[in-house]
Amino acid sequence: MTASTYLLSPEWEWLIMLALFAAGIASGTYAIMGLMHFGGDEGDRPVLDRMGLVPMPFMLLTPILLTLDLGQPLRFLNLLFTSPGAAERPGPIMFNTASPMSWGSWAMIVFAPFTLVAFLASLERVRGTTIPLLTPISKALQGNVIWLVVGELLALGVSAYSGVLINVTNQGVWSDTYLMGGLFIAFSELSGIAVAAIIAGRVGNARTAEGVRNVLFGSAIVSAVLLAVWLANLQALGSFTAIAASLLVGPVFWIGAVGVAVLLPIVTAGPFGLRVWQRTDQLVILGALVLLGVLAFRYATFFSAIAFIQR
Amino acid sequence: MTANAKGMFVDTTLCTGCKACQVACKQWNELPMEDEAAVRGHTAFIGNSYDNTGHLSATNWRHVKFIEQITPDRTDARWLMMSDSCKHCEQAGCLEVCPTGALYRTQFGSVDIHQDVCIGCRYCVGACPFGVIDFNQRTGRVNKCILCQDRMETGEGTACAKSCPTASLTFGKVDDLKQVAAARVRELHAQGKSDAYIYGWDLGNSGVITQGPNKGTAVKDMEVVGGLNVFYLLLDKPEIYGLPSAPQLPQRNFVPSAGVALISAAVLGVTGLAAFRRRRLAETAAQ
Repeated sequence: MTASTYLLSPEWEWLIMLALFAAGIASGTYAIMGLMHFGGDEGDRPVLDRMGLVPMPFMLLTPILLTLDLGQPLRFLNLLFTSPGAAERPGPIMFNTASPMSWGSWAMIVFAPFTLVAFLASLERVRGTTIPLLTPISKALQGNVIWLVVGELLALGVSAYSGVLINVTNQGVWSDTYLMGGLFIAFSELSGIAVAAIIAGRVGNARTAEGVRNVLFGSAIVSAVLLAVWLANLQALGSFTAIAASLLVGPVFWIGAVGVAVLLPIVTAGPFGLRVWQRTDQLVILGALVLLGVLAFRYATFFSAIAFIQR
Repeated sequence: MTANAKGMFVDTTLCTGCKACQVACKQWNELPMEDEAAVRGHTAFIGNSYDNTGHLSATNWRHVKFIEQITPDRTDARWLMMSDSCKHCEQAGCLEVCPTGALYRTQFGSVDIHQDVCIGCRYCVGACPFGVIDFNQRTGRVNKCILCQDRMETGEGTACAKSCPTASLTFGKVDDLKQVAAARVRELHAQGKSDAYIYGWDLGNSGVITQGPNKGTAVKDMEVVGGLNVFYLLLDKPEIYGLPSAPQLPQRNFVPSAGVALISAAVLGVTGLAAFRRRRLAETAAQ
């Protein structure tokens, strides 16, 4: 008999998975807003304005879910400020450069005001609601290119950090390749463009809908390539079955992440697409399904480490 | 390496599996039962060995492993035993990923936890290559062996080493322990036990496994994750003892993973911009 090697699971479960899904929607939506701002035109404005309402609520939801998982919300502060109990650490600010969780916490903290500015600016444009002082500042900032570019970079950071974070562990599947950060960015962008599709399906014109379809198709292609490279790597390393053949995550991964989040947009939104859901209002269905597919991806990748241990 | 680092040398050839170290650890650190209901219901024991805890956990900071090796024809057998705990790695994955500074390097070179700083994020649990540190459901924080930091501060050694009746566990300065370990390997080799080697530091020993399923396999000292302040004398491959043969720091992935993320972001950004602009190109072409 050989003693077992016990790689313990960090027991990250539903609350954290949902938190990262919410953060992905917030950062992905913000990233797509940037692309629409720089690549689109005035005809996209109704959709762009409404998209601005999305990131902030999801960025609020994320720390709520994360702190719920911790059990004691005030402990969250130890991520940001050096606790008096950690006397070895210098300075009042807690930042461990070797820890992706530290980078991610700060990225989310700094990104949150950008989502608030987008929200307030959109609130004024869509609903006419103004808040003294805050709304004029928000409108000015939202029209500033430097502000938007910095916000884009932070959105990418928030999208990527959770993937890099699970890459920087010793867990099976998570740490086997270098691709988790790239995959998480790709699926965050997919969730952002799914949000854009839902909004464009309701208020967008045919031209905006076409742009959204184009981006959805492009993002799905990039995601498909990353997924294929990732799976090929896992196959070479012997951990492919932990995600592909596991009852815990396999069906959700193949049907949800591969089928719905990636293949469906390629087939229906591409230039050689099937003649289904071609009407602008039908983008709502496609967007909702892609969001569900991204959720399936989050679930499958997140719980694949447990599936690996259970093999 | 911390100057005058303290640690332990675990000589598995001397371990009799008495578990005095486990009891001493539980007693000194006031560690509760892992699952009281299971113990009272007689379902807590793993049932396939004299090993009664199965693995390290938030409440089992020390664990005596029992490895039975019996040949298929049952003509030869040996019983390997090893008292396992946190290795207090020189490059500790748990410490490096901790986002709050709760895990820290002590003045003795060991890795300790500020319980009042730990937020229970469990990142360290996934980062440890040995599966040592564990989440404590009762406190919402993580726990592991802290090398009896309180005892070391008063000049004493660890409770487990103090209780070991065969000197399988020896506490002391790591530099001194390396010399003890080197001498012990030489002694065993001289006795014909050429399978003895050190896991944790490379002291220059090598040999050949003489018994068990890996008989004939060459072995040699292994320095892992920058060295282990709690290191082992083994008689078989590390995997046999449930130790990884090539433990790695999780940080090995940080820069490459961030790099791939950046490249992916750039590709997605360019693809997205091009996708929006394709409409204009199509319109221009149509005109």
